[in-house]
Amino acid sequence: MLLHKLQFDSHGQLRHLLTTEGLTSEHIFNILDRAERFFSQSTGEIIQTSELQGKTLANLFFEASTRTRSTFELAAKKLSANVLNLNISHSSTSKGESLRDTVRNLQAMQCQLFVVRHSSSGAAHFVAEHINPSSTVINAGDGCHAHPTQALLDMFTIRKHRGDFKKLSVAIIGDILHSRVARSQIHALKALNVGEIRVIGPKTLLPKELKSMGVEVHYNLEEGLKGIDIIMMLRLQTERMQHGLIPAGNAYYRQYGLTSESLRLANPDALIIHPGPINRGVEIQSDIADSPNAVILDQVTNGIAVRMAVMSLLIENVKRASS
Amino acid sequence: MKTLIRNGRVIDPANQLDTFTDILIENTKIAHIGPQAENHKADRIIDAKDKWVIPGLVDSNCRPHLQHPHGSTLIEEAKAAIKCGFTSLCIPPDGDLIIDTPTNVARFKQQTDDELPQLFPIGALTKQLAGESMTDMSALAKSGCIALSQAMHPVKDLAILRHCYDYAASFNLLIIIQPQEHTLARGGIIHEGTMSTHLGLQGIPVAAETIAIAQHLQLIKETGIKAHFTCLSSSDAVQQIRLAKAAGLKISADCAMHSLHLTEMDIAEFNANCHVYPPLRSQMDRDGLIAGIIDGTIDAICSDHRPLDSIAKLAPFADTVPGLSSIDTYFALGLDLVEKQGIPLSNLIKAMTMNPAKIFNLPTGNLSIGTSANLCIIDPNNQYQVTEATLYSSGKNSPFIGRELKGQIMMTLLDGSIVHEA
Repeated sequence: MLLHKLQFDSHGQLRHLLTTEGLTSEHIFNILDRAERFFSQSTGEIIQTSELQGKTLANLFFEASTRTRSTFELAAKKLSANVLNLNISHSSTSKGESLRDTVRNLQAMQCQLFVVRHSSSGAAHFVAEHINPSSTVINAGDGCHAHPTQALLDMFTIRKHRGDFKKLSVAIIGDILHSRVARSQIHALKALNVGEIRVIGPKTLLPKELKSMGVEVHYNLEEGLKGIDIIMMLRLQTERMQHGLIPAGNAYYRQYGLTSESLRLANPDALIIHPGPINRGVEIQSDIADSPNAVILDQVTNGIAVRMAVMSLLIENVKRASS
Repeated sequence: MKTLIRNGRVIDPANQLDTFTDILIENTKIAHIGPQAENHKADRIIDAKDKWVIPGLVDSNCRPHLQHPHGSTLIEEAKAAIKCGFTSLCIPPDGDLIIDTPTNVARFKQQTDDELPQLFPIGALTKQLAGESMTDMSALAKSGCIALSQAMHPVKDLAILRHCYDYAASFNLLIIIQPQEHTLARGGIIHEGTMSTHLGLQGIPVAAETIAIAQHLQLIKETGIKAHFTCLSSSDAVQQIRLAKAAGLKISADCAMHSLHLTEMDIAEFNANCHVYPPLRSQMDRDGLIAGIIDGTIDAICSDHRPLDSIAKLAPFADTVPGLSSIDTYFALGLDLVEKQGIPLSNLIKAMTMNPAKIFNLPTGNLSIGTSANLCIIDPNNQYQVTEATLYSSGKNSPFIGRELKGQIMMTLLDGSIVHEA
């Protein structure tokens, strides 16, 4: 396991959130508990607080995104922070110098929270390395590396619906090779001592040393799904077919698609989650995505509370460190 | 002018010499070695007590020219190399000026002078390194190219490569091969392994190297060409070379000093100074390379020096320019292998001096009587911490910054003249 020292302060508290790798179960439960407190006990809706009043969040998106960016924006507004949305085309900032300059400029505009999405793995680390001590970075997805808030909202959703992680068998299905979500999920699940993690996909879509992450690897969906409690689907990017990693047509769906037939092998009440957007009929049978065990829309709502929790925790930690 | 170097431990594998003795230099040549050297009246006496005297370092693959626009010039870097103990540098053809015509060889040579290490150009195998039509290889050789290479550029197809090798064989020319099957390396950033899995960076499989080696070996066998493989990175590659040598092929090989020290794990949290090509591979690969040095499969250790300016590394990992600045740490890292990895000192000195000189047929790399007095004097016990300020190279892109190293170049002599004194 890599330590990712950059995201911790000298007391081992989160200074930035760059990856779930290196987080302890205390770190994760702290965030999940905090997120729970943002739900109103009477209505179940997310509450409005003034925790981050006077703070400014910069949504720094070098890669197109609607949902993730919107939930970060909503989360910040629920905490009464100001939000600056920057959609920067990659071409204008492909040079690192300008990425660093962009961040410096935003610091000069007194932004304290930087939410970074970038197509290069390590981009959030890069920003965190060049940022001043009063600011904090949240990785909203860097290349194929990490997407920690997505993994944390998944953990929140699993805990909410299924409780104790230690008893659960989890399967992650699909394109792990290119998935920052899968990597972050695996690290989080490992930290939470989940009973079992299986990863299922064709060999072309699995990283070579996947076992070094402490998971069981399956190339066969039926085998991998047997007795599973949680099914974590990944979005299949169709461009992978053009790159010759899988056959064109519906071969992938036939071998790895979650259908009522393959679902029968999992535990009867298996929970189905998906980071969205869903490709109906590509990785998942359309009516399964809408079934009661599929909590895909609940994940979206939980994502707001979890992102609020991350923001409030990081600002609190930065404040404590500077006082 | 007579210079006497006294009391040093003289290590010269070419003459099976490792003893405390004196060296007498007359003008530019080594005139005498042995205790009776004291009897000669010297104009200048250098006391080398507690020091080592070895042939000047010969780098089989050094890129002192910067590809990045804000870097230093070839001359500045060559001057830095002198201070790091190098007296001969073999320069691949893929610098700013592609060495593919005799005119360009002449232009390249204009950049050299007496105070610099000897710069030996390697000519391009194909015009503009485009991999399509062969250069006038014999003219390049006549104008001073010590070998021919495609550097890191692919050749369009194997038929062209085969013709190039056949043609070069007609003139008994040496070919330098940096093995990579570029369709397998395409888009790759780091070794395909544990770190590419963890960091989500596209991997370069070992097969990108081994498939290329297999193809080249077949063509070498068929055309009878002399070939040298440079910058090997994997254990499997070492084994391929070992078997090919045993089968009698006229080949030699080197690897970069950093590949004997670093592995993919050193990339840690996206350390861009560990972004190099060929990539740092696994611990097993590193062990395989070290075994190759010990049993002589790998003949030479190159610096694969690529100085870059700070902007080149100022980006998310995959967007940085690959390469590391290595001449400054080269010798001390070599000594570290002797202390920690059990590489015999004589193997190390051979791999840094005599062997690369032999491979390229250069009149240096040894302390034989009558040869040019290219040598360096080393304090093997001087321990220091590497910092940006200790690097003579203007490329500060060294992953070894912060490390404690032992062994310092105290003096470099080129053609009998002191060109560096610490």
